[in-house]
Amino acid sequence: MATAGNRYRLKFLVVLPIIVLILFLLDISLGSVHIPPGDIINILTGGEGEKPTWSAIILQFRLPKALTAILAGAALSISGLQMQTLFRNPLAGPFVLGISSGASLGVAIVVLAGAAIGGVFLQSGLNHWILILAATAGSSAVLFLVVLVSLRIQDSMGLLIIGLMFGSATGAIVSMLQFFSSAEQIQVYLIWTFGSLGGLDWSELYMLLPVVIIGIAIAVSLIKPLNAFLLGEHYAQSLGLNIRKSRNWIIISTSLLAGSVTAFCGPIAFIGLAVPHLGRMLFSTSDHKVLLPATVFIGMIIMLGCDIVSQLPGSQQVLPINAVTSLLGAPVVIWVILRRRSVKGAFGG
Amino acid sequence: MGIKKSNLYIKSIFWILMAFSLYGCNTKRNIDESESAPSNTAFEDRIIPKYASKFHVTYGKGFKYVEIPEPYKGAGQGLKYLLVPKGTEAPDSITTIKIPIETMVCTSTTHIPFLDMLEEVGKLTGFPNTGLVSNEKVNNGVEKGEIVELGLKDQLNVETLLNLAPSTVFAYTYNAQNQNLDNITKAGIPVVFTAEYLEETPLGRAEWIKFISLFFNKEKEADSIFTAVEEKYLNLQSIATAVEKKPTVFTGIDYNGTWYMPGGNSFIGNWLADAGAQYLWHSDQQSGSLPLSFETVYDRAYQADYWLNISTFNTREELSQSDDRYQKFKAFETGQLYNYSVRINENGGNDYFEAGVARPDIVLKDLIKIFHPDLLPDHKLYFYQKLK
Repeated sequence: MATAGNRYRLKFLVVLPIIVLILFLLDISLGSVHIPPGDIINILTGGEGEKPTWSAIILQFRLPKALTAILAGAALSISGLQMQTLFRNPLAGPFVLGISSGASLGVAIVVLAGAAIGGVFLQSGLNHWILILAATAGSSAVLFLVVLVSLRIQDSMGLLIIGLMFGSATGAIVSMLQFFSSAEQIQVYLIWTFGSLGGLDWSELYMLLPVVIIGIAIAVSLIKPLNAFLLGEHYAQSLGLNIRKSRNWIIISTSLLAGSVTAFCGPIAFIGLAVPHLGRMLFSTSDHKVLLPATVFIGMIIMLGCDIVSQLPGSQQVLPINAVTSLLGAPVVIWVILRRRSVKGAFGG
Repeated sequence: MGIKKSNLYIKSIFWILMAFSLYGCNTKRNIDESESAPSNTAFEDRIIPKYASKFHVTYGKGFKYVEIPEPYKGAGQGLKYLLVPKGTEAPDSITTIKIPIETMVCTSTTHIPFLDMLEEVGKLTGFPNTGLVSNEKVNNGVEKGEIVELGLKDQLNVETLLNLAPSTVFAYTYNAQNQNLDNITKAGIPVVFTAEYLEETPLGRAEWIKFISLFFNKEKEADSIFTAVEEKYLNLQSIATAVEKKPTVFTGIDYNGTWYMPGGNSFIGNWLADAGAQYLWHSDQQSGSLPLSFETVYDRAYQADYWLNISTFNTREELSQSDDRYQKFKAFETGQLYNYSVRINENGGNDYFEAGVARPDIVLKDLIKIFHPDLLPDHKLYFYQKLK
C-alpha cells in the first residue's frame, strides 16, 4: 500500500475519536428532561445546575449511560471482528460461541423458573445483580462446554458449528421455560432481551470497565495472529503461529468482552456483526493494525448514536436499545450480503 | 352440532358460514332473532353498570343480551353473548349460554372473589394454577378435589377441562389468538371473555360482580353487594379528597432503563387520586402504562413524599442494592416506601390482585391510611406494607 493510503487512514483515525467525543457530549446533553447546555457544562466541571435534579440526571443517569454505550460499542465490535477473522466468516458475530444464548438461558432460569425453584427470587425482588450473575453464569457454562469440545477438534469451522448448536439447544430450553411461564414472567424476561444501556449505575460500571479494558488489551496483543488467521489456518501455522494458543486467547478476549456486556446490558444485537464490516469498508483494509482501532471507534459512534435515538430526545418515553441497533444493523448486513464478493476479498478468501 | 364427518366440504362451508354469521350480525338482528325464542321468562331483577364501561347488557323477554365491546386492548371486534333460560332453543348465530349455569371454569383469580361474594364458589369445578389462589373456600375445594387443577393459565389442560364439561368457561385474553380457548369453543363449551382488567376505575372493576351475576340470575344480590362496596368507597373517597394537604406520590421501579408508570387515567392513578394523594402523573390522560426513562421519573418524582408499589422488594436495603440511584429519591430517605406484598401466598399468588379487585374499598382504606394516617386511626394495613 502506498503511503498516501496510510496517511488517509491516519487522518480517519484522528477524525473518528473527535466524532466519538461529539456524540458523547450530545448523548449527555439530549434526553427526556431538557437541560440547557450552559448548565451541563457547569455540572460537568463540578458546578451546580439551575435545578438540583439536573446534576443528578447528568452525573448519575446520563454519564453512566453514555459511558456504558462507549464500552458496549467498543467491546461488542471488537468481539465481532475477532470472531469474523477467526472463522473467516462475514456473518460471524460476538455471540456465535453461544455467549448470548448462554446468558439468556441463565436469565430465563432465574426469571421464568424462579418460582419453581423455590420462589427465592420472587420473594426478594428481581434484583439487577441477580440478573447479572445469572447471565454471567449462563454464558460461562455454555462457553465452558464449547471450549471443552473445541479442545477435541482441529479446525475453527467445527467450533463455529458447535457454538451454533449450543445456541439452538439453549434456545430450545428457553422456549420450553417460556411455554410454562406466566405472561408476567415472560414480560420480565422479554424486557431483559430488549437490552439496555441505562440500567447501570456507577457501581456496576466500575465492574464492567476493567473487564472490558482487559478484553481490549488482549485483543490488541493479538493483532499479529489475527492478521495471520486471515490467510487461513494452515498458512498461519506455516508462519510459525501457535494456532491453538492464539485461538484460545481470541476466545478468552471475546468471552470477556461480549460476556460482560451481555451480563450488564442484555443481548445487544447487530453491533458486533455490522461494525467490523463498516470498518473494512471505510478503511478498505483487512489489516487489524488499522481495523482494530477503527472498529473500536466506529462501535462507540454507532452505539452512542443508537442510544441518542432510543432516548427519543424531547419526548418522555424511551425505545428499547435492541430495536434501534437492529433497525440500523439490518440494512448494513443486507448491504454486505449484496456486496458479498468484495467482503470475501477482505477475508482473503 | 350435527356435523357429519363424512363430508369435509360441507363441514368447511358450515364453519365459514358460521364465522360470517357470528361476525356479520349486528346487534339488532340478534335481538330480533332471540325474541322469537319460545320462552317468556321475564328477568325482573336487572342491573345497569354504573362505573364499568367494558360490558353492556340488554334485557328482553326470555333473554339477556350481553356485549363485551373490547375484549382486549385494541380489539377490532366486540363479543356478544345471549343468555337464555334452560329449555330455550338457541339460535346458531350467537354464543348462547343456558342460565343459571350449573358448573363453571374460571381462568383468572379476579373472578374468584366475585363468585365468593355471590356464594357460588360451589359451581367452580376447575381452575388453572390453583397454587396462586388466595381465597380460602377455593383452596378448600381444591384440597377436597372438588375443584380440579387445570395446569397453566396460558396452557390450559384442554382434555381435563373438556372432561369436566362445565356449562361455561370464564376467561380473559390479551390478544386475539388463543388456540386452547378456540378448541374449547369448538368442543361446544361456551367461553365468555371478561375484560375487567381494562376498566379505568377501581369501582368499574369491582362492578364486574354484576356481570358474573347475570349467569346465576343473581342480579339482586350483586347489586346490593356492589352498592355496599360502592358506598364504603365513596365515603372514604369524600373524606380523603376533602383533605387540603395532598402528599405527592409515584409508583413502580425501573426495569433495565425503562420505568413503566401507570397513566393518570389508569385505575391505579384513579385509586391514588381517590385516596387524597397527588399522583405525579395524574395530568397524563392515558389509561395504560407509560414507558418512561429513569431520568424523567427522577426529575419529576425526586421530591415526592411517597413511593408505592415497589415490586417485590421488602427492605430498603434490597431496593438500594438493586440500583444505587433509588437512594436519591426523597421518599427513600424518609422511608415512605410501600409495596402490596402482605398477602402473597407461598406460591407467589397475591391477594391484592384477587380480593383487591372486588374490594377496592379495602385498598382505598390502605392508601388513605398511608397518606393520611390520622383519618383512619384504627385501620390496620391489609394489602400494603412499609418497606423495612
